[in-house]
Amino acid sequence: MNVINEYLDNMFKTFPDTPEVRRARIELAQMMEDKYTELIDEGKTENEAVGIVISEFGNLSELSDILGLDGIIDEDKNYNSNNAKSGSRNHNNILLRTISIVAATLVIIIAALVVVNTLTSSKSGEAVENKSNIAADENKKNSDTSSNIYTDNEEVERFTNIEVKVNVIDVYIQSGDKYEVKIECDERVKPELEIKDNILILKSLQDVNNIPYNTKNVCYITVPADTELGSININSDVGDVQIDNTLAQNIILTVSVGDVIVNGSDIKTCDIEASVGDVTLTDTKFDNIQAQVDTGDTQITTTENLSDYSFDITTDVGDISINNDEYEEKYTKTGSADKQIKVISSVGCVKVNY
Amino acid sequence: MNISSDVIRGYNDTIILYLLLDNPSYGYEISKKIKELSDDKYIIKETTLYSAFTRLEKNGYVTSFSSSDNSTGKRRTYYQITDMGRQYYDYKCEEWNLTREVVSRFIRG
Repeated sequence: MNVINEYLDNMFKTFPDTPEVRRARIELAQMMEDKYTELIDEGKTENEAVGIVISEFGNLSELSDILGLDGIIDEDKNYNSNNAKSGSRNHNNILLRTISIVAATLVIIIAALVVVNTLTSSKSGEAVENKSNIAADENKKNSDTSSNIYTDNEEVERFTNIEVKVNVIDVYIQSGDKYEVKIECDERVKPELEIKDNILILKSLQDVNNIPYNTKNVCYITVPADTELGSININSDVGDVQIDNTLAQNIILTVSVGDVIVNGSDIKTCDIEASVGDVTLTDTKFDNIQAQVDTGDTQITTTENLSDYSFDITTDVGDISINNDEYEEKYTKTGSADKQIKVISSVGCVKVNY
Repeated sequence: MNISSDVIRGYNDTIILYLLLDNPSYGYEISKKIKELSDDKYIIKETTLYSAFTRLEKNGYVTSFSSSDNSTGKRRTYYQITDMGRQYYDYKCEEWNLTREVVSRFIRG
């Protein structure tokens, strides 16, 4: 909950101290706290609950509309004008909004770092002690209690789908000679790995509280080249997701804090939800892309011809650039019904090059 | 497929008023009911919800009061619908029925 309060503090730093603003902060804190408590009661870890609450928070721009304008704000202009209510949108406040949103971007990034920091150890003494142990135990491959590094490198049986739900692990999907999984992470965040009904399942088990910052937690999943997977579903709280040279039908990525990179791959549909982090697709063939990016840039670069695709791109703050033509706020183009690129970006640029 | 926030924008107030028709409620309870009643297809953002509450109150469609939760003693802001709010809700229902009827004519399948 402290992380959530700090997040709100940072959000509200750019707002003036008025009764309305104070009331908004209190009410939002109440709602977030209720949601957080229920997620914990449902069995989510602190980390998962915080990630969910923050990713469902929304945009500052909606608040500055409500708090920064005079008069009555109408969701439904027709009804209210018919009922003799007056109210007007103050268009001159757009500049103010933009400035506050840009400032808020920095604040959100800081908040994200706060989230990461809170999840890592404040026990720096223990980390220092471990460094000397790690040097001494360099040759050990498996779980080593003094250095707390867990490694696992194994060939696995064939799978057709991937399901990952992790809290602080970077996930890489790549192509190679065989089906393999390699994990290297802090002992305390080691995930559970199993293959059931041809689905590779990787799940984080424990709550994340005291992880030495200097541990890089990674997981590499290797699939034999030219093998098509059914669906890849990755849900990550804090960690990057990178998919290279992979053939798949569907990809669903939900990342709270981390970058998403899809490179040299061939997929039918791609559904990405990124709260804080960039989304980059390079040299990837696809039919359908749907991305929701809260804070971060979206970049799609491909040699495929996208001229017959439907485009629906909106940004709150940030430019849209399609083959170097610039657009503001919205770019739509009707094209083929089953080839679509849809991006909803709150704070960040969207660039498409083909 | 999830609901598009652009499309639902005109109906956030309506959705909230619906949930207040029978009894007052508070922030998270409303957001939870929206999620449940929409089968997880619409998860309303906190900022959207708070903006809607503020707007509804400014327009006189709801009033708010502070009350303590019976079991936890936690103080929350509760919202309740007004007569004007009920009128606005009825208007929006009519508008939706008209919209749905007209748009349906252009939808295949």
